[in-house]
Amino acid sequence: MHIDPLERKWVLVSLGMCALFVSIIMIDALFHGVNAPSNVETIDSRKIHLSEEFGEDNLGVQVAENGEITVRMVAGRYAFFPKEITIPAETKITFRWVSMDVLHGVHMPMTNMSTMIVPGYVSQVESSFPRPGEYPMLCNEYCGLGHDHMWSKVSVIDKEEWDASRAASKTVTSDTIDEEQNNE
Amino acid sequence: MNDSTAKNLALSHMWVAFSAFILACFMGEYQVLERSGLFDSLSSPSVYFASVSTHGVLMAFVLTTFFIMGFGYYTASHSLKVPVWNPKLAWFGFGLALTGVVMAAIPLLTGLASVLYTFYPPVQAHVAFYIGATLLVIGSWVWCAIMVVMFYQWKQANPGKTVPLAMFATTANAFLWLWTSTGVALEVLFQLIPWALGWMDTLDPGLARTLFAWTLHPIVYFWLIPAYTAFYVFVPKQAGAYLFSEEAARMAFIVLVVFSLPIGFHHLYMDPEQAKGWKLLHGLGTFIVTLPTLVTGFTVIASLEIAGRLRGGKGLFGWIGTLPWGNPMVLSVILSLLMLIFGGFGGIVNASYAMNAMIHNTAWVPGHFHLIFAGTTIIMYFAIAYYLWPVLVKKPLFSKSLALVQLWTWFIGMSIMTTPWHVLGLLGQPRRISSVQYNNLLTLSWEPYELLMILGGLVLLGSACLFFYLLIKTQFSASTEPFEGIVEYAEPLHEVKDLPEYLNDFKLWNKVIGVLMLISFGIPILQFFFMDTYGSSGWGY
Amino acid sequence: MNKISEEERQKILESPPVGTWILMLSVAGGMVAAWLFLYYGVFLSRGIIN
Repeated sequence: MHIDPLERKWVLVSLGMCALFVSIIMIDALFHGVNAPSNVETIDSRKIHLSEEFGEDNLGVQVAENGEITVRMVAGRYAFFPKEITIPAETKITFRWVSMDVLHGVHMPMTNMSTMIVPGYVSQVESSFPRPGEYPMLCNEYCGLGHDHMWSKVSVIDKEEWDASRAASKTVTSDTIDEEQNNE
Repeated sequence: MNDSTAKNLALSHMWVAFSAFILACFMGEYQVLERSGLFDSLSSPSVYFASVSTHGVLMAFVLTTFFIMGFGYYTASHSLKVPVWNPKLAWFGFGLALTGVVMAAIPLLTGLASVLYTFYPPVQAHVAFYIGATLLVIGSWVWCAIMVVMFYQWKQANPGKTVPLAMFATTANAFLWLWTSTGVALEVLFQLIPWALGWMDTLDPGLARTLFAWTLHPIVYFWLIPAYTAFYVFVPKQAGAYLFSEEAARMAFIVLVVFSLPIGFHHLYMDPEQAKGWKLLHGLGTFIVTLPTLVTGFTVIASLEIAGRLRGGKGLFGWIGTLPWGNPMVLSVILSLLMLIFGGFGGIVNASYAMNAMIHNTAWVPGHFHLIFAGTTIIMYFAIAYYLWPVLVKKPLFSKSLALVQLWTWFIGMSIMTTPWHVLGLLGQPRRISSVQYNNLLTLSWEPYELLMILGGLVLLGSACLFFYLLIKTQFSASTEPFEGIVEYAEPLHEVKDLPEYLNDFKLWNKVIGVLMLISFGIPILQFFFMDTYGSSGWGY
Repeated sequence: MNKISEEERQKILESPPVGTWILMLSVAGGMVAAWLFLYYGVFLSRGIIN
């Protein structure tokens, strides 16, 4: 079988190019935590309002004791709930998404917060936002005739501002407790 | 040999294909106008989504499937020099597929199937849409069966001989389509139809998306292979020379067919129902399938280089200028390859696992597939039509210069329309929206691009009308004198000696595909039957 | 169009497609550059994804 020597060289060049891309992708995936969101977890989309995790009172931004931030959102025609959230820049944030009705997709333009939201499944993605600003959160999968106005707002504030306001609210809480104790 | 059956089959199928095409082109321009928000009177989500759904089905399923079947029947008969096997069955398949199209068209055009051409549940269409789509697919399976039978009958009658490349590629495509369509067939037969009929209350949207993803990637190679077939068997001859390497061509078709199948999860990178191990595996396979395209580029361009040098081209690149740019087939391949560079690059970006988040479900995605499919692939369908029509209708092409104008304007319009579309994606515009205005400053940056896209769409619509006009004039102009067109296949530069059987047959490759599909889709599909999943009932829109 | 001799014709048919080789190398080079720019310059600079 006759293969031209230059064509043979081209096959090697092509293999090399693909190997370069695949290596960068694999190394980043396996060692630097650069992955497509892939948490496989099921949930009954018809009962999320009754669930502990996605009931109305538990939605939105929550900061754990150790400072880790989790944002729980529900997608449903035609908004993402809660409709406005505030999160800090340059911080790892874990988003957990569910749908109350049909297939949705969500992304924040100019960021890597992007995931499908499939009814029956919890989508989990870790994101971070290098640049503070007012970002829209847009639905990017056809979900009905109102798809073009399905969106919500995200305020990404400076990390310093976020830390300062959390410290302030902690002081207020402890001041209140001291006052109450003094009044007893 | 009386090949009127092959010719009639080809013409009938192609008229259905191109009629669907021209209708869908008008819908496309309406859509880009409506979406821009510049014309209040047009604004209507219900009309918009009915149009997008119809446009998608006509372009992605009707134009393609019917063109491929028509081209296949003629190629099989002409390259093997035998009559079409079982013409009654062939016409039955045509009738079945056409019935399916009409059955799906009614709900589509009346707004009862505004579920887009991907029809992801749990948004639900009228059951006639799903049944119509099923009939179209079953009709196409009839074509596949006839191609495979003709392939093996010829091999039996010609033991030890090399199957003509044109038929090798066509049969490869028939096998590809059988494997490809199984995914969506399973989804439609076991989930969507029983669910739409009310026999099943709920279905699992995660399983539906996984089954559709099985089909969604290889279907684009089903569409692309006829274009590559023209690259290899028509172009070198039209350029005046030889096919640089027939062995490379055969290997390219095989690797395309084998590796286009087990890689569908790059459409599900952002989905929660599949784990990252599987996504990485499919991503690796996706990079493998770029190789036959890269090799095809080399082989075709090398064939053109020889042709150009034989015509007097000197130096490193002089041969480009001396090619017969006035030959529609040659012009088409040049424009097609230009679009393939950018469309192919966009595909590599899409395939890059986590980087997919940068463009997933943004405007980049329709920009990409219009460039690579409506551009690279469809311009070759035009070229094949211009080449075959005179042979099929026994009249000369109505106007070669208008054909060249049509091809150039298609390329220019596609470039003007898809370039801003890609940029809009990088700027975060979502896809599948019926209007692009949001009450947010970031989205204001999108506006200038919408105008460019309206202009590109207008150029494309004009080009499409010109194409349709040329076909009609060619076929229905009064003929002044008898005309016999001939179809010529390119000869290989180096005579093919001792071709290994694995480049002349598909038995081995079907087994390889079976194993790869089991590895890539076995557990990812079975998992749904072992997990606690919760179904969704049907939702309107 | 010049008429070429049989000798020249044979030479063309047998010589390696150098123009194609250079073109394809340029395309590959361009794709690598563009991909690296998008991956490091745009994608990763937009934040974490996991």
